[in-house]
Amino acid sequence: MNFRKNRAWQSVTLGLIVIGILLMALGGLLNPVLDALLSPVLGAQEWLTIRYQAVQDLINSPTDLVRLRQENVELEAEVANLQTQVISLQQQVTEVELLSALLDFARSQRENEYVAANVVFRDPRPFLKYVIIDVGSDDGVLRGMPVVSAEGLVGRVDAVTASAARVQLITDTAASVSVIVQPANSNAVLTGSITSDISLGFISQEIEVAPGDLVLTSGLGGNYPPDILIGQIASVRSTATDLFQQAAIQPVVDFSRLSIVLVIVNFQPVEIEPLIPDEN
Amino acid sequence: MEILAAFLMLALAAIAQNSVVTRINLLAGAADLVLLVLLSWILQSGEKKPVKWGIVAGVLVGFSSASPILVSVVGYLIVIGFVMLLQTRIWQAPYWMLLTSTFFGTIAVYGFEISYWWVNGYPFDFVEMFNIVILPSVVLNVLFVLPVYLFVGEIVKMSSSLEVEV
Repeated sequence: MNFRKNRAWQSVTLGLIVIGILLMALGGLLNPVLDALLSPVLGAQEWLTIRYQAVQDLINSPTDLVRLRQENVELEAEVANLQTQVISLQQQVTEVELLSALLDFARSQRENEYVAANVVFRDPRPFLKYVIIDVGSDDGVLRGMPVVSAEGLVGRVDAVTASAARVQLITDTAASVSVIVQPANSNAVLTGSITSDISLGFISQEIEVAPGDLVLTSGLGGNYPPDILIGQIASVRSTATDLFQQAAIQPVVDFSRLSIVLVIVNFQPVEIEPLIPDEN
Repeated sequence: MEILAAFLMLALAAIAQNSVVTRINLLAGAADLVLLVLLSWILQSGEKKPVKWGIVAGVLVGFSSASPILVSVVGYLIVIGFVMLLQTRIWQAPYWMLLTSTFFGTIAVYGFEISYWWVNGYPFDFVEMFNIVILPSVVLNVLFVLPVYLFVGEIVKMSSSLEVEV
């Protein structure tokens, strides 16, 4: 009987001790003790894990290396693909900007009708400033029609086939355009040169022109419609002995980067050659 | 096979000339890639009748140029005549002949075309043209001719070996 009682007391005591320890653990009172007990165990476990991982890496490394190389190749291909896409998108953005500028230009000049064209070729001879565009008589383009870009005058159509046309740029040595200089409101003749520079001649000595003055088509001669911007005067050369002043022009169009142009298709150039008296 | 290779090379040279090479300028001069390919081909392929390639080159250039096709053709034929003349004299020194024919060929082609345009009313100043167009073009052609020559040489070897296999 006493033995049973003792066992019961022992059980109750043990239970109370366990509950007490649990309560102490939950209350955080045993943390220093637990830390002291667990730290050697954790240290040993960590040491073992590191060694195990190292051995595992050593065994699996050839497989990983192959997999990593494959991944690298795939990623490099993906990067190349994305770079191509970026370049393509950048080109599209540039083209859209260009088309938008051309549209703005066309809207600002409502009296003209335009056909847009891509510049597909440049003349292979460096002394001839011509470009080939991808529209022709099928698109309503005729010889003599003026060609412009969003910035200003480019040239005029020199020859036409059904699907292409050749444009003589205003920088060509044989090109000449009747222009008006603003604000002096003076007429002059613009000519191209072998170096692609354009210059003004036949400016009267009595007229005052200065760098920064605007140069626009005058419409005289019937080859171009009036008031198309060509550029600004960069410098003026005038001596007392010359009959006329000369000026160098900074064109608004960058002829080295022409890519899209507009042909003014409702402009009919005036044929004045029959009116020119025969020298013979 | 050789005919196809030569035609393709000249056509590609004409396309590259119109789109890229004309943008590489020295003063107002530019290289003539078609001329360089033509010269390299004639000098390495052992072509018996190179006149036909002169006509092909002239037609390819004439299509995209404001110069009439006949003018381009005659320009290249003058060069071929010059090369044929040289081949009978200095054929044992291929590189010397290449450089000589490039030098005089460029002057001949450009000189002939410039003369044509001058006769037709272009206000060209010959001294200015020589100084800022022809001479810089000669320099560019001489610079580019060696890589073109080596490239065309490889194509000649490939096309002739394919022909032997067939």
